Amino acid sequence: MSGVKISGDKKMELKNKHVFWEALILAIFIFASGIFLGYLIELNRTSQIITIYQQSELDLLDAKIQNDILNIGNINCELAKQEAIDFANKVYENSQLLERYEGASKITEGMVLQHKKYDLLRTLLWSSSIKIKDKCDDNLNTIVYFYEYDPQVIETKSKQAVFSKKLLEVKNQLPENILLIPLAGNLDINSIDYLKKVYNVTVLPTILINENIRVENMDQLKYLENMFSN
Amino acid sequence: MEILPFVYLAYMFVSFYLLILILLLYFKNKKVLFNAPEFKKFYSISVLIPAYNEERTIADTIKAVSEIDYPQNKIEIIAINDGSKDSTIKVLKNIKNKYKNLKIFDKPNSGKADSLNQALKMCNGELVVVLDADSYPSKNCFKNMIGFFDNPEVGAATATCTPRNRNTFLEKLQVIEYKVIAFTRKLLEFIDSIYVVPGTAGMYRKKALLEIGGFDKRNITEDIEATWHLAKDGWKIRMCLAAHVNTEVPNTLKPWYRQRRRWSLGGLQCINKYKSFIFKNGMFGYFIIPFFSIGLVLGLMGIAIALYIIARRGMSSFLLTRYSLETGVPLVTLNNFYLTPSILNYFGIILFALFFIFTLFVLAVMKDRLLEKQSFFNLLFYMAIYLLIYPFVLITSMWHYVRGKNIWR
Repeated sequence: MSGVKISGDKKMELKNKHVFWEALILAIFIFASGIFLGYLIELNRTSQIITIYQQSELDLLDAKIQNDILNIGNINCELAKQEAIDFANKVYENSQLLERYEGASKITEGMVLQHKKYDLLRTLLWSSSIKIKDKCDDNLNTIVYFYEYDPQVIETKSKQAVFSKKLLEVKNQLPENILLIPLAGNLDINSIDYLKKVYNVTVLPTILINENIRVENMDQLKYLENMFSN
Repeated sequence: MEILPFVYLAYMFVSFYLLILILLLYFKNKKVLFNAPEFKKFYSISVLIPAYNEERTIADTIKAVSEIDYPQNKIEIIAINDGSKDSTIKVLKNIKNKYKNLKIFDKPNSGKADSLNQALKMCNGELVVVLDADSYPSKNCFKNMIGFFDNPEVGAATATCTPRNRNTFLEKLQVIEYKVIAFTRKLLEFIDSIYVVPGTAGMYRKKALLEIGGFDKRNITEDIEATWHLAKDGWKIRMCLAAHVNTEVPNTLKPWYRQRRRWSLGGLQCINKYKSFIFKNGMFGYFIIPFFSIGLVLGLMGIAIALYIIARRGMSSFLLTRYSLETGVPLVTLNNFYLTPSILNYFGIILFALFFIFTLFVLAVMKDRLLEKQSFFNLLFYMAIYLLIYPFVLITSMWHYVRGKNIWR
């Protein structure tokens, strides 16, 4: 008779008796390693943001001290304005990276905390810019953009994407005269909630121009450039 | 925290688990993978060939059986003409005199399962081979399979089925698919979990078939149902990778789709029929039913998630385009091109890569000469597109199932 001798059924059963558990343990091990690796990647991104944030914090502090020094005599409006705009631009660039990392963050919550810290930093910048405008009567324009953090409604998400693009367009047209400050309006930050009340911001997204004009819909957004050309 | 990432991770975990299970089975049993069991005697075999409109292929099938390396006096061929509308019966009558062991059973159309059951009553073999009228067993096919039946617990055995026609793109994709199926089916044998002895070529112990009452006429995949029934009753199912059967596979999309829908529908019928046996009757209840059901749930869940994401993205793109046009802002900016992959993206890419490597590995293990001929594009298409069509077939099958359209065509 031909054929190679096959291992007996009993032998086969014994050999494969624990295969389900072995596969489960291996799968859990590999999967957990993957999750851990993902956690490390997200942690690394968070630490990158923390480092950038610390630098921004230093920059703001530096700008404030410079202002304070200048305030001993008369405020140097041109320098203060430039400092504010440069700082806002830098924070804006950082926030772009933060936003991308936030979008990719799936297992850790560290990015939300960083976002809140950045929002506070920007709020500080805003209040500082109000003071500069009070003292200098300059042509510095502030655009505060209140948006919804992590919107679940598609319409809000799309609307915010268009608002962001439009604001960037306007900012690029007048880079030296516009201070662009995006703030998440739904992160339960007391100072931002307070400012929202003060300036009557009730819907998100809302653009607040020079602390008195509110843009809440598409029709108004169309004419955003005109508001600065006058 | 969103729920979707966790659903996605659960999906990934089950896929990882099944892949690891299959690989472990391979590494534990690779030495005996291609072995054929030694046999004690030549069993008498009845080869049942049900045919409905098979004038083109049936003569070649009978010729292939008659050329098998097995004592022909131990083989009885019963060609069943199931009320064909073409000239199948004429072809059979023409070749009748060429083969002494050929019997023709001409009957009105009543479906494959009923045809087999009727033929079962009149056949004399200790073993029954069910062979599709467009399938062609290799010369060593029977010899390599009969040794399984020396073990009285074995109720059925199957062989490696591969496409005979391998020219068109769709056919080439099915070559990959059939190889992967044969490989995994053999590995499932090591945990007594073969879930189908395909109708293309199945060898049964006649006693076992009679005990389960033959094939279920109500099930449109009588082969899956019979396998489940045998497994439920404790019969062991075996597979021999060294035994080959070539079969005609659909060469255009429409018949391909119909065939796959029939398979899915039959699977659904089986799950429904045997659902009360889940976590009962050994591996049948602990693995076969859950494995099949998990496949179903994963497929549906995958498609639900994909549709949800596509619908959200589609709606979002629509609104974004509308608002952008209204306000005159550019649709695409540099920011759109920044890619920051998340852990879920990494998992997806790794899983895809693993399954791709696994497919290559299977083709290499199966010593497929087509590995050189299969272009990278074919493999990529098989992985990225072909397999993704299945969940859609599943959905239409479910729709048909719910509407009670459990028909062959």
